[in-house]
Amino acid sequence: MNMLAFKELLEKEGVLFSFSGTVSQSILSSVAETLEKELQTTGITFVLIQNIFAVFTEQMQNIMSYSQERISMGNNAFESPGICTVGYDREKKHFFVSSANVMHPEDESKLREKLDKIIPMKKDELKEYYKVLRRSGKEKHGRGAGLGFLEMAKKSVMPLEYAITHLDKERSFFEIKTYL
Amino acid sequence: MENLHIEATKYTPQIDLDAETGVLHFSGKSYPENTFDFYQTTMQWIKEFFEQEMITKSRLEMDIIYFNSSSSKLFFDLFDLFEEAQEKGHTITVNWLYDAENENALEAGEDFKEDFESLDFNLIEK
Repeated sequence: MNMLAFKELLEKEGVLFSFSGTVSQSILSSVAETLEKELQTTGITFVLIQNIFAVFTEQMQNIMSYSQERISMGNNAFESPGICTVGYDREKKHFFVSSANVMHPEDESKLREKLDKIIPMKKDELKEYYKVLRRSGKEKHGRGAGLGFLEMAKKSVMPLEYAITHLDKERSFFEIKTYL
Repeated sequence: MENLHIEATKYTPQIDLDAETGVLHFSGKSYPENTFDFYQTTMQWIKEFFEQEMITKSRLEMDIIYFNSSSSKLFFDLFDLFEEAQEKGHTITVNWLYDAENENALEAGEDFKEDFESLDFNLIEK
């Protein structure tokens, strides 16, 4: 692997932190805490640090819950391969949290429907929809409330960006980016 | 009924449920991956506590710095239990504690307060 090219790509994209590997709850909490401490040294506000922490957590937990490659560790705990980065976009002048994982192509339409509904919503609409879904529990399942994307969108300063790339019959590549 | 004490971890809060005083206290962060499993014992304890009616006055202290979206749903269900108990005659106070700089915690508290208008729901700056 060309590490210099990798480093140059990270720098070009403004990546401050990147993780690629097996995502689990213990890795998430260690990494999120480290990230929080590092961000505290940058002089940005408490709320912004917390929003980055929150979106990072939602994205990592989405990888653990929804990746097609997830592995059950028993007791309703899962691990799965994924990528997550945190950075600062110098042009947009905003921080970003971006992540990716492999998903099954048959889940694509449902995921698109969910995201395409949220993306055009204004802040007050997001807040209202969040409360409606939280009350109804309509999207609730064994490991979540189905509120993760809404949580990201509520915190985000720009609409969520996502892409799904078809890899083969069994796999699609899902990526999502949130600006803060 | 025995009291319930659960130590905090990096991603789950300290929980102290006192059946004698009726003070139910949560403090710390809440972002487990399997939220509903993690809180099952706690939710069960609270249901039994209300059913037994040894005391009919209780206070919920929520001192949560950060919580993920599944915990948000769990807390909603928790407040729902309190609202039900109140409808059956319990006297309930909810104190939602937040740091002045933690606007997210304040906003989250305000949202819950709006959703549970019938509860005596206090937003308290620490």
